[in-house]
Amino acid sequence: MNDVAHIEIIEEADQVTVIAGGSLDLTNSQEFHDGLKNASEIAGKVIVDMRTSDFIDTAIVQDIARAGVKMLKRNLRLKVIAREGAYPLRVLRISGFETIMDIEVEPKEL
Amino acid sequence: MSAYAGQNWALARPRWVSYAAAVLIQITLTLFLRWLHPYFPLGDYPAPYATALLITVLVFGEGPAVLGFMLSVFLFWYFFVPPHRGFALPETTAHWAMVAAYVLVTSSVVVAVALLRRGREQSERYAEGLRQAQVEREVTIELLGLVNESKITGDLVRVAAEFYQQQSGCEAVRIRLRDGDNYPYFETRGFPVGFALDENDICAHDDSGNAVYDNTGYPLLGCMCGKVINGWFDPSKPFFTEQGSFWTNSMTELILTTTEAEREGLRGRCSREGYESVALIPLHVGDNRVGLIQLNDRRKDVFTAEKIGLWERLAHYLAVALARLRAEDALRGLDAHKRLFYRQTILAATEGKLAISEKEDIVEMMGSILGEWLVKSVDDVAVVRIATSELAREAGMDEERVYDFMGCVVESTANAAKHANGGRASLHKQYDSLLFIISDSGHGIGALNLPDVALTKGYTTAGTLGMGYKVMIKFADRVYLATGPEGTTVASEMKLHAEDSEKDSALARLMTPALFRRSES
Repeated sequence: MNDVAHIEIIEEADQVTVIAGGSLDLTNSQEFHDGLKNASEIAGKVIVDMRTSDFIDTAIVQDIARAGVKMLKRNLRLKVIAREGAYPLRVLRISGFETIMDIEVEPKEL
Repeated sequence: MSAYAGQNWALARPRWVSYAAAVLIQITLTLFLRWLHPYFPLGDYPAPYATALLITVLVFGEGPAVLGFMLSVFLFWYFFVPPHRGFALPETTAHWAMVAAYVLVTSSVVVAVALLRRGREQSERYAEGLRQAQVEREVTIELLGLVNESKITGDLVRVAAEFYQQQSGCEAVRIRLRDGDNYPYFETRGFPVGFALDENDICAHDDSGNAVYDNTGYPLLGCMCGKVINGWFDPSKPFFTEQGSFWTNSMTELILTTTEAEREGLRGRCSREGYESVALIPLHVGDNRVGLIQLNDRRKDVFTAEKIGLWERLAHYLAVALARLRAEDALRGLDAHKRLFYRQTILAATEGKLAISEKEDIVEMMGSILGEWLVKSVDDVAVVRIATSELAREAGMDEERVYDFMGCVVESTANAAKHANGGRASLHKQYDSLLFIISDSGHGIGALNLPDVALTKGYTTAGTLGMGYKVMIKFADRVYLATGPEGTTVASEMKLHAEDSEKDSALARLMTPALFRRSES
């Protein structure tokens, strides 16, 4: 388990990819919060990549949900990529946000 | 002997002694002046009598001084105004002036000193009034402090009885409070056990032992306690105050000096037990008859009217506080019914996963402690998460379950940090599971909010996502929640291995009715 958060924001043309890796909670996610908020307001395509994330708390889910709503208002959809069976995907599924964002599941490594 | 000491000496004796002393002073002074007159005619001047009258008015007061003044006029006239030894009118202008000077000087001295004495007495009364007001203020603050610290009726009644016992110095105190139609004792201090039991019921009973009611449906309270509680008193009787308290400094004397009709309601039990000083002070808030304070002592003369007056005023504050706490108790009773309903509903809706519990139940479940943390702010959430995840792995928890457990740890800890200014967290090892507990001192979750907080997605009382409890219920094997005005305790139980969790879930679904019964008990 990686108890530290790894956050990276990659901008390519009109696309912003927010990479969230490791373990994220409300104490270490300010960069994620700000990056996703800004991207959801201006970028044409926003991807939240959580394939390397082991843990997120509901503060992160809240950031993703808000970004999803903002994108919807701009007639766009947020894309979230998560690892199959990993905790972040399971938390997102409890929230029931599949309707307002596209969740792409990366299969487990064999 | 100072003037004050002389005053105290005179005040301690019958009033006629002061008058006799005033007369004696004048006669003694006259005899002395007569003896001295051939050698030194001091008696021809008003000064000696003026001095004697000054002492008289200072020590014995105005009445004896006036008597002394009148007597001295005649003595002076008879013995010192020519022609001596008679009441003939003065023959010369000088002799008239002698009498006039005497009357003017001595009367001026008496009036001036009397005014000074009155002024001083008024100052003393004022100072005493201020002192008593200060004492009353301090005593009132002390009682109000006790009232504020008491959260339930039982606590307040106990500290109030102790307070009245200390204030009165009485050996026995008890407090009656309304319970249905009767007013049994809620707190008894210093009374013999049998006495307390005999006197517990104050309702009047018929021959069959049934309580008797008046035509308005109120129970008849058949003793002096009942009369005081109901406000049935005659303020013209010396043993009742205007506020309706009963008090005496000698039960023996009261019984000897009153007829049976006059003291109707006195059962005589206190007197037979040897109590001489007895006071019954009602606890009323308007028409709400809350109860009664009883003070008993075997000594005579324990009370004064001033003390009884003070305790009546304090009893009013106490009655207001008791009425409020009893109303809160009643609300708590209703709240308890609501909580039982929600407890059963939530347990069923979560298939036995969320158990609304009491804090004591959670404390009983604690196994050996693996770690303990003080959570002061949200920054501590990560500290607790990292530490508990390491301890969970060391305990042998399946890796995937560690993350699920962290979800419970983070959500419950963040709730305490965000909504209750932090709390105390601890991790405990049970037979085949770990138990993470966080306790805070926040305002708790109201009974009406419990189902929404626990079950409704997106429900929050704080503007956040409101998913915390849903996450805990989803990922923990069981969540125990104890919440109330004194704070909230959340315990998340997680089996170390998935297979144990599956067995537990199946069992919980089967045992849900049994869990209901356990909750009720």
